[in-house]
Amino acid sequence: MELIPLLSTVILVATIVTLLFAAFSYFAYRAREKKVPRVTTSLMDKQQILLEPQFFKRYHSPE
Amino acid sequence: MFQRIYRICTVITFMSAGLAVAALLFNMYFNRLTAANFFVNFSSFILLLFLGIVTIRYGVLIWFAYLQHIEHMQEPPETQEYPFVTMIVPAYNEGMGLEASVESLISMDYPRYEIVVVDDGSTDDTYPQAVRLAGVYGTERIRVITQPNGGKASALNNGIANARGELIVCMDGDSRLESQTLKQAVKHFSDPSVGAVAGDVKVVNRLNILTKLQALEYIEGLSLVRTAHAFFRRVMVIPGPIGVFRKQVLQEVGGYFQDTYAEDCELTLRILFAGWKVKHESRAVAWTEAPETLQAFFKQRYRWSRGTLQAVIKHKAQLWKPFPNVVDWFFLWLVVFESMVWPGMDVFGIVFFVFVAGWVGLSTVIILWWAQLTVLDIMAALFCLALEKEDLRLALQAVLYRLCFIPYLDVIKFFASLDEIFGVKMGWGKLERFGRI
Repeated sequence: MELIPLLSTVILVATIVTLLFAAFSYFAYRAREKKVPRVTTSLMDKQQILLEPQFFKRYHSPE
Repeated sequence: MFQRIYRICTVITFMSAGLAVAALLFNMYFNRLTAANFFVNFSSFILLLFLGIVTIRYGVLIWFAYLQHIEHMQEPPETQEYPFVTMIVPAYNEGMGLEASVESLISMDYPRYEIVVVDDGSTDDTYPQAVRLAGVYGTERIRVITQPNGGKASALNNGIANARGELIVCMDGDSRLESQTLKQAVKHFSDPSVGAVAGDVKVVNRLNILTKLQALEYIEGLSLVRTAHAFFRRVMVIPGPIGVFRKQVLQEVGGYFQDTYAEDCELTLRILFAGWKVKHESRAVAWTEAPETLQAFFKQRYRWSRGTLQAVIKHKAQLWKPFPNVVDWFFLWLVVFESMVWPGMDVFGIVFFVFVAGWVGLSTVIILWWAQLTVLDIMAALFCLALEKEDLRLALQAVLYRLCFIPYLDVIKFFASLDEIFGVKMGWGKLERFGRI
């Protein structure tokens, strides 16, 4: 078999496989994102959280 | 002087040889298409145009990156002044890498600085670790702030509000900086018009093919573009792992905003449009951990792609205002091109070649197209690796880089663009760390 058609086939197959794999990765990602429970926090809630007083946790050394 | 002339001649010869090979392949490609039908000819014309743009882009980037390198070599080797610097380390569940990161900051070769670790409501031992490190090295050197989880942007803003320094370094909780980073970055601020300096990010965990490809991409793709833009003092993205800002500039533009997933890109655009210069320092190096699995890589690049688009859309008014900042306007359109048009063209090209190979039988067109792009990639890779004094063996990855890595990335960008246009919801996610730093 000639070299150029062989190389063309290799390149084409590799590119198609990559394309399909990337598309599969995308749909798998979307499926995973739908399963993850999301805690929706509005901007107002975040601002409210940041305005509340912060109490530092005291760190106790292991000894 | 003779050494400089020799270097310029070498670069010009190297580029000319590369362009000559590319032109030869281009000509062979074009001649193959004369007998094909209208659809093939028309599509090929579009792809040839695209190929021409890509070739010109590589040439222009390499040329301006080289000019920036020449200019950089003439700058003073390090700073003559030592303004007080605050280094902000935002940390969310960074227990794995926080100690290595902080220890790299403690060993910084710079006389006047402080470290502020902002624990962003971590659920692991990040906060206890940070407090322990403050106890070890002294609370004058390291201060620890904790806050309910609010995201990286809010952690950085909290650090900025508590910063005592005239200059602020914003970095990632898992980055490791080299000891000369501060000295090299600070020297640029002797120019009062410079608002920020972007450092150089490199991949530390070059363990498998995926991370080696990312290491090459960081050098050839990201750093090359940043260096070329730096010639115009218009770096478009200050990377998250290492960015040095004037505190005054951050206060002027309002700090980090949380309305995009690429807060670093969005902040950089605001700084540029406020009229400040943004430079790049190749010797201000931050080592970071790249994703080691395809799943993690996908999540990261998907977020980057959508975040970049969000940042551009947020500043879309600037797309129609070429004046007074013509360079910023042009570079913003370049970002749009590289985020949306280029990936779309690549995906179209792949689909076209499947048709060309299957129905028209012009399989040699494929190898000529791929060969031309690979020649450009290898040429750019060798240039960048030599410039950054990196391992030249990374250039061997250029073949796989063009064959698989770029198409995979382009598909991610393509879908990310569609999701952003159609408003599909997304979350932040958290990159899994293995403590490679």
